[in-house]
Amino acid sequence: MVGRLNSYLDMVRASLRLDPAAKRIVLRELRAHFEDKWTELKKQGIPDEIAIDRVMRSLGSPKVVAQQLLEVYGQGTWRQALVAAMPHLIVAWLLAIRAWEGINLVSGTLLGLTILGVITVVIYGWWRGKPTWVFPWLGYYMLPVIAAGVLIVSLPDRLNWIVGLVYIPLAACTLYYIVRQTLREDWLLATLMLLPMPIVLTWVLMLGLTIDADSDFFIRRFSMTAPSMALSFLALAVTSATFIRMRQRRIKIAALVTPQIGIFILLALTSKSSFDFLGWLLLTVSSLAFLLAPRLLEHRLK
Amino acid sequence: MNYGRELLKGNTDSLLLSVIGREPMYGYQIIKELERRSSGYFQFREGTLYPALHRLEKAGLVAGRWERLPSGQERRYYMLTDKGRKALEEKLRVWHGFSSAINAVVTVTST
Repeated sequence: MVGRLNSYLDMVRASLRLDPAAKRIVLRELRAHFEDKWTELKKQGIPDEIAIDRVMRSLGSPKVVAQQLLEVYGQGTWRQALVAAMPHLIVAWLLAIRAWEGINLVSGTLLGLTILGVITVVIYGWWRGKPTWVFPWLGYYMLPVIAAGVLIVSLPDRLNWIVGLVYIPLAACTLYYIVRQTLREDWLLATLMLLPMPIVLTWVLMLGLTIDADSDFFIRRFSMTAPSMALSFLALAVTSATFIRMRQRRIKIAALVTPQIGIFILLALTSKSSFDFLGWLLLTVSSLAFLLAPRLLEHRLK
Repeated sequence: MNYGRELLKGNTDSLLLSVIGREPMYGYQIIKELERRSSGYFQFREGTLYPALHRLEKAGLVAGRWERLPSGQERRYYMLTDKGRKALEEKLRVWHGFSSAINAVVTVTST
């Protein structure tokens, strides 16, 4: 019985591209139903094979069940859309208020609360069965891993090699674990999670290319580009909210990819001196490839 | 087009809300109760019950709660919310008006 039940549930799972938390409830419920029906048929003295066939027939096609569930859960609520947009909005807001200027008690507390908030929301979301709104938060949860890597590069020569040897495998394992867990649900959720990464890395790269030995120059440059950076995170917020609210999968994909091009146009306009057209094109294409890579990975994992 | 199936489809929500309205029930129990009350007339394709229940839950008309039996088996019980109770009253009011009108027309036609 267990084998046939699992293969039925696997078929439903494969066809269900919806909120992981909802998916888990549905699969648990179908399993419970299967067991109830099976127990009743067995009490009537029906042989195993016939009982299984009857249970399967009464449940109907897994694809039809999955399709009907998609119609119910395809579209998230406005509240979920707002929660999904929130981490991008917070970053945009921190940039807009120039939180980095004059590190004092207020800005330090603000930053501390933001980091604590991200950690709390991610742990809560993970515990609640990974609903879709948690994935944009998860993207920021992974940023410290990358930030630590950038810091290691700035260590003295010999030390960065030693720390790097320990750090790189650990960071790669962490990233791989989180991405793999996400890919089990849906590659689009992995893309939603990775959304800020190309933007952050490109901004870092852009600022890095303009760094002189003079740190004041870097801060001035950072201050000049901050409004555009805030705007790009605002665009990410709109992207995440649109993703949650859209029902059709194709529109969800378009919602994830299209704003990225807009953000890179904004970046090109802001960083005239940093990139030529070819550089900009390369960055845009590699960012889009990075965001669509989970599709290939998912295919390989299956 | 199967007329009976279309009628059932249009009234699934009212039937489910009516069954759950009396006491909290889990999926399989709802199917059985529908069969019992209709003397076997309503036989749901069981897999499609859950999308219907989840649609009602998303609309805030019912609420689901997991319970673990002493045997270790889990069941998700559905119960009516206040909003669901009001929606059921409204649906039943419309249904009674509609079925009375249909009966009146059909009775005159057949006499």
